[in-house]
Amino acid sequence: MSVKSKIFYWYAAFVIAFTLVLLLPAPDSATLVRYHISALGLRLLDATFIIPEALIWFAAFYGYAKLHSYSQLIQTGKDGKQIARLATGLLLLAVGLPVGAILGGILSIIAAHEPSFKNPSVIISNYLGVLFPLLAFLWIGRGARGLSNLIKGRPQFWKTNVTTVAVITLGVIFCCLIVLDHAELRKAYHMSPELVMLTLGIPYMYTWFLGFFASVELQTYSQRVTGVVYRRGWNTLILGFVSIILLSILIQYLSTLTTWLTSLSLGWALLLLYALLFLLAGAYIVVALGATRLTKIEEA
Amino acid sequence: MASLYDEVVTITYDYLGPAADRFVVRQIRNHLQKDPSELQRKDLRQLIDWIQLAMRLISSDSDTIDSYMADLEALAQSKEPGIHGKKIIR
Repeated sequence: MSVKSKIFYWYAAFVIAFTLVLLLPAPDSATLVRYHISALGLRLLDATFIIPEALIWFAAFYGYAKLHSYSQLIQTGKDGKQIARLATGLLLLAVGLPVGAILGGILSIIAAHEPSFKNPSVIISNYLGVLFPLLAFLWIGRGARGLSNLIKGRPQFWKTNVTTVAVITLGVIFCCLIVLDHAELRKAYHMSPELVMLTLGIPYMYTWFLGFFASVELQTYSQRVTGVVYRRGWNTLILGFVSIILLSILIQYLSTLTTWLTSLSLGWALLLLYALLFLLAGAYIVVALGATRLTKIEEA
Repeated sequence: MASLYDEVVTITYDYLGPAADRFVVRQIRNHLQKDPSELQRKDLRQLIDWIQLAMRLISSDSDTIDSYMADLEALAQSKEPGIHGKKIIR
C-alpha cells in the first residue's frame, strides 16, 4: 500500500472515530445549562464541528503527504535527511489533532459514566495536549538545526535574544496564572499548582522554546541558502512551517487558559477557535504548496 | 581542474541551490544517456536545450531562466575548461 493510501485510510478512520465519539453519547447536562441550549441544539452544534475539523485534518495530512513525498525524492541528499525530520514533526502535529480530539472525547464519555474518573480524564487530556507538540517540535528542531548546519549559519544574535525573551514572557505569564489563580487552576487541572508548574508548565515552555527556535533557524536557512529558484520554493515552505509552529503555540497557550476561554460566550469562543484552526489549515496548505514547488525541481 | 560536469553544476548552484547536483545529473542521465563524468563539450548544446525546457517547467520567471541560460551559453562558448570554476560547497 502506498504512503498516500495509508495516510488517506488513517484520515478516514480518524474522521469516522471522531464522528462516533461526538454524536453517540448523550449530551452533557452541565453544557446544556452553561450555554442555554436544548439537547437537539447541542447535537446539531456538535455536528457542525465535524466538517471543519475534518477539513482542518485533511489540510494537515495533505501538507504532510506532500512534504513526505518531497523528502523521499531527495532522501539521498544531505538536505533530504533534514527535510524527512521536518516531515516527521509535521506528521506528529497532524496526528496530534485527531488523536487529541478523539481521545479527549473517549475520556469524557468514560468520565460521564464513571464520575470518579472525571479528574483523571482531565489530567490525561492535559498531558496528551503537550505530548504531541513536544515530540513534533523535537523532530522539527532537529531538522531545522540540521539545515542550519548545512549552510554553516547561525541565527543572528538579536533573533536568538528575541526568541529567548518571547519564551520567558510566555512562561512568566503562564506561571503568574498558576500562582495568582489557585482556585480556578485546581478546577481546570485537578492538580496542585506546583505539580502543574513542574509537569505541564516546564514541558510547555520547553515546547514553545523548541518551536520558536526552530522557526528562527528555518528562516535563517531560507535567507542564506543558495539558489534563486530553490529559495522561492523554500520561502513558501518556510512561511507555512513557521505559521504552523506559531499558530500551534498560540493554540496550546490558549488551551492552557481554559478558565478565560470558558468565560467567553459560545459564539466568541467558537469564532476564536475556528479562526485559529482555519489559519492553521491554511498554513498546512502553504507547506503543501512549497513542497510541490520544490518537488517540481526534483522531477524536471 | 574542475570537470565540465562540475562547471555546469557550479553555474546551476546559483539557481537551484542544494538541488543543483541532482538536477544536472538527472538531465545528463535521462536525456544524454551518459554518466555525468563522461560529459563532453560537444554535448553542452543539447544539454542546455534540455535544461532550458526543464527550467520552463519549474519556474515562470523568464528573467532568471534567461540569466541561467546565458551563464551556460558562456560556458559552452569558452574554449578553456575551468574558467567558470567557482568553488562550491555541496
